[in-house]
Amino acid sequence: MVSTEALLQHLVSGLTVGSIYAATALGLTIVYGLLKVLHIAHAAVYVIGGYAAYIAYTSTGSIVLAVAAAAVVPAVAGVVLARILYMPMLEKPRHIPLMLSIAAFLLIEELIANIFGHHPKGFHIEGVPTDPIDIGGITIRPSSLIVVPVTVLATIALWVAYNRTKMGIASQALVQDMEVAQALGVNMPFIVYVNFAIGSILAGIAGLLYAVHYGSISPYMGDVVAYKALVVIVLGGFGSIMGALVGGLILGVAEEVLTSYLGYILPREAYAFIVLILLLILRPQGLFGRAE
Amino acid sequence: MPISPGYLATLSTVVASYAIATLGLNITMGRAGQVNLGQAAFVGVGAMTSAILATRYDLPFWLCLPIAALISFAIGSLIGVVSIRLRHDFLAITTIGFNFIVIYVFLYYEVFGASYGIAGIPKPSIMGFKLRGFWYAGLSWAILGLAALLARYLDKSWMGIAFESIREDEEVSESIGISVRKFKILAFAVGAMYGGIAGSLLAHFKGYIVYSDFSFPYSIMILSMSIVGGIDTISGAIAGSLIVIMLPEIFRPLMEYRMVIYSALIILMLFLRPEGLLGRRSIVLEKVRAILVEGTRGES
Repeated sequence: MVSTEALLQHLVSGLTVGSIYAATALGLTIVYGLLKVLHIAHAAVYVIGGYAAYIAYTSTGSIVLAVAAAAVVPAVAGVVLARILYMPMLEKPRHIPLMLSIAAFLLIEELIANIFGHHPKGFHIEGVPTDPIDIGGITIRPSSLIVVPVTVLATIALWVAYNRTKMGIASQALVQDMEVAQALGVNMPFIVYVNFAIGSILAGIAGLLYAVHYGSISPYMGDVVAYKALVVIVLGGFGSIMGALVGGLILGVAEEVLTSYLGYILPREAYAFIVLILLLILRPQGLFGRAE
Repeated sequence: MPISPGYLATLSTVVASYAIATLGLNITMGRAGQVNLGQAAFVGVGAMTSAILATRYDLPFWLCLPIAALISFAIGSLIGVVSIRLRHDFLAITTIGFNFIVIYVFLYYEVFGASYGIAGIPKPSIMGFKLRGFWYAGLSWAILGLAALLARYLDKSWMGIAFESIREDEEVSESIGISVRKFKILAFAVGAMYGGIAGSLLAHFKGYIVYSDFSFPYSIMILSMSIVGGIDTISGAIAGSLIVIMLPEIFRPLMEYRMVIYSALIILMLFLRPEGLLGRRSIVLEKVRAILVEGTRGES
């Protein structure tokens, strides 16, 4: 029943969707490591990225400007959110910033829907081929060949930046102990904003990747990502960069496979949440994390 | 704005029903300190139970409502069991996940009406007299009254004290002999039961329900009622429901922006008045209390 070809086919589509999950989860995981805030509004930043790219591309027709818009606008949005919502709430119980974040997410999502319309908008970038390629019986959409490598490269770049640059080391120091790091001269707010900016750029790029893969954007494209990115960072272990990549890819593939073999029990989206709850109860440190 | 009697009856029924759901959230979250961001799921469980019993088995409303309350109580205790191992933000995302799973189950199984919903849910009747319009509104306010009385009674009982204690400090509560497990489960069960009652009322009022009536944004709407009114009082739940339901009705052009209003309200309140307008530590009540105390104590 399970043919190798079918399995490989699921693997390819799963990896593509999983890459988009991973790209959105990267920002979430570094922010969680720093502030211990579940930044649901990150999904709004992802939608903002998609729309910024759409507006830039439709008004100028330049791919470079579209990519730039998908990076700059979300970066600003992310830093503003951090400044307004999280920085004043660092001392509060952790569910307070979470509620703020959810409210901010719905607020931005609905504003975008009311301004740009509730329906999806077609967003095709010229020069990106859309005809599927056939390799040994497996059909691969050309967009997969963009989405997966971009995500993997972004993750590696982030990992290197985190472990090799001064800024990255300072971030890690803050993750370890906020007070001691500050006493040693780490400029906490600045490092936090840099992290938000970088995470948000990744979310914006993920928004653009979504458009490349599905050929459209929608104000509600963040709905699925908002909570699935949580599943990804729980899978990968909170705060782990490589964990977010692996977690995203695993979730994408697992959903693909589960839906095709058990699809009649529950719809695709439900599996992620069941996995989330089981993981939080049984292995809150993540699949690869060690118990504290 | 047209104000017809029917419109008023509808509004007051909806306000009362959501006040009951919010009251439940205030017990779970405000009193016992257990974060619940999926209250709409329990409203859905109650509504679906009631709808199925009434349309498939022809049970009268007077039986549907208590059974719906019981089933939500049971499902609530299940989430309570899960909550024992989770705190704060992890508990919060678990309840969000639960809300999504419940919606998908409603959407995927024919019993719950799948994507078409369940229609033809009858209004209750007393000896052949059908309760509709203001009669139904009266019924829902009466049930809200009973629910509030029960909440007050429970709050004054040992349970209320235990809730407050586990909210403040779980370890200390355990050490002085309060079973944190038992009361966490109860906190969710009772809150869910209130949600279920609200769902049953809404289902019989609207006559038609569909899975999306209980999706996550509705949980956020109920949350905004709680946060606006006051997260830990009965009056807060009622005031919150009234304000949140009436706002988009009064400002009709804002109807499209309803979710925007609810989310903005949550953000504003969490920053300006985290205890809500009528919460136990609210500024409004403190002022009143201060004036009264000043009056009796003189210039001391």
